[in-house]
Amino acid sequence: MSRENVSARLRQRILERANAALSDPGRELRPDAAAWVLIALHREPGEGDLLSRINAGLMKAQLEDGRVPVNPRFPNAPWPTPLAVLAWIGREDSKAALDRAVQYLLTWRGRHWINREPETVGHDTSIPGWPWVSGTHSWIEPTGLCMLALRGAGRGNDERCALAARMILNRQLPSGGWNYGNTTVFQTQLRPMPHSTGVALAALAGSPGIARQEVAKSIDYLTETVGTIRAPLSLGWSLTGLAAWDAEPPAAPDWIAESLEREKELPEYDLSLLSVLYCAAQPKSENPLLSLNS
Amino acid sequence: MNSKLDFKRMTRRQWLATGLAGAAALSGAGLLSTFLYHGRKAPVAILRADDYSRPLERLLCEGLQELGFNAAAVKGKRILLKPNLVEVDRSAPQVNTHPALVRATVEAFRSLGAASVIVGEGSGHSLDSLYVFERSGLREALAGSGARFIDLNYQDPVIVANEWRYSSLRTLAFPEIIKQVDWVVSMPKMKTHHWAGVTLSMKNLFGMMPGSYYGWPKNVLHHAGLSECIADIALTLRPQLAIVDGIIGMEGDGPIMGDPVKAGVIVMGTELPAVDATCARLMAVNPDRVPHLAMAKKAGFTIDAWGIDQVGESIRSARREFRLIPSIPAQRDLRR
Repeated sequence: MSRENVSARLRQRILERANAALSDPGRELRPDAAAWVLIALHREPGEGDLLSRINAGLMKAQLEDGRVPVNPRFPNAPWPTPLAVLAWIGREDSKAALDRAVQYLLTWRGRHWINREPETVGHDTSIPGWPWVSGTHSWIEPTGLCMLALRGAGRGNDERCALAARMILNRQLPSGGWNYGNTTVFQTQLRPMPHSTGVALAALAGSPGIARQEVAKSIDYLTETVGTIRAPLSLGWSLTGLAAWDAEPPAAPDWIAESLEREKELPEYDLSLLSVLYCAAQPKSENPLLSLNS
Repeated sequence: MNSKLDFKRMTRRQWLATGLAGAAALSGAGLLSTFLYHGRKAPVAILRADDYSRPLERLLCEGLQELGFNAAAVKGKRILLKPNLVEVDRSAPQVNTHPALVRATVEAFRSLGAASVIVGEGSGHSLDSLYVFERSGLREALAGSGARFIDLNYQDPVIVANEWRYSSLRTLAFPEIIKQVDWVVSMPKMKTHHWAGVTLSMKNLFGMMPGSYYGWPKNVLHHAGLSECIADIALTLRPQLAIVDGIIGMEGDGPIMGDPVKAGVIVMGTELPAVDATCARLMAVNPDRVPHLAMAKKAGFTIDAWGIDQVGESIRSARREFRLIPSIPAQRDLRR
């Protein structure tokens, strides 16, 4: 299947599902899902009303200090904030919200400490990144997303991004790939995971001074694995991560189409999953996760 | 030896409506545990199962019968199965609850007249529960079963007070599906664990807690006290049943990187601390040395052998010493 065809199918499914989700008056999308739709369709003509409505809901979810929690009852779970930043970049109606979210990300950090027991957990626990939930350790996906968001917002030169790149490299598994963010526990190396690896590769690709050689094993791991993946989140991030290093497999559109087909046998894909797939279906220069960083 | 369950026990909805909310009105854990436990023996069945190819559905039905569940008890119930789906490595069958056992459980409940059976997981390590569902082989195993899979990580929260307060958490956020089912069935793998000593039906409930609010891994729970959270969550949620996959378990550096061990059993029961204590004994672990089991005992739940109504195989006949790693603090003194 061509890239154009699979993109068109994804776009249609996202729009149908977003319209259906918002058919009840007063109902809003979950903030991360709203942000993902806006990220994916930010260049789409003719959907202004729908996207404006989705954006209004996303802006309503933002707290005064700039964070965007996943649920108003969980203000300490502001992990959708980098997604909101990516969604708001370039939107005239969201400049103030964007500025506040960026400021929040620059001050928000995970819990860190000097690792005095490297035989227990192997990574350098002192290098700051970003957590999922305030008061907890920094992990790969939120750190990668925050790097992408800050770079997209023109803050890629901030020290936080340089530290985050160091943190992600430090968590790379010796044999290649990343998982959620542990390398060894009790001196045993853990397994890599494709979506974590995809996020890490996408984030590092735009970082100054990161040589391909430093992530070559991870590119190899993902190249070997991606052909077997059809779950949308893992497939989408794997393809985006590989595209970031110009290593996207030619069969990518077919795999995305197969993932869409498989939805019949699975629970209905969340809008965030469809949007991740949509981003991955674009050529590198138009993948919103990568082009915002160029 | 059959134990008879009290089928007047509350349904999940009643429990949520009156139990959890009402717990606040009770004066302390002692009274609440008396209310929960009634001083009766906790029924636990040990079933011999050497591999996953034997007719597990029939075996499970026998086990349910041993525990006092008959068709009348199951009929019309909406049931959530919570297997342990952690990470994917098809060459490591000791990591996840085996798909064949999950499928057999679906069939067993359906044959007894359950209205619906749902399988849910909120993977703790992987952000992508669908990936784990697919690559673990569970998607394939459930095909045509009529059981749907749900990702618990993104469910809206049902927030309840944490009355036990072993951990520092004041409230617990469960996925909203618990309001839509009558029974929750914890279906763990029988494994050692490098932070908690063992991971069984109580620890498996970490996968009930949505990652949206607790992170990946469920880091909030680690920082609030791992064993303490295990106790808080299990004693608050109180699933109706546990079915432990001990056909192939994991020893050594569990819950992910340990080695397979053929334990050859399925362990079932209605009181999770009693089920896990029985599993611990089968693994040659002293349940009193497992912190979260000790907390459950303190709360009034039985983990003592004398408080357990044992049916099926005896512990002596099915016992298989699981290898522990002395350099891992949580596993150091578990045999004493």
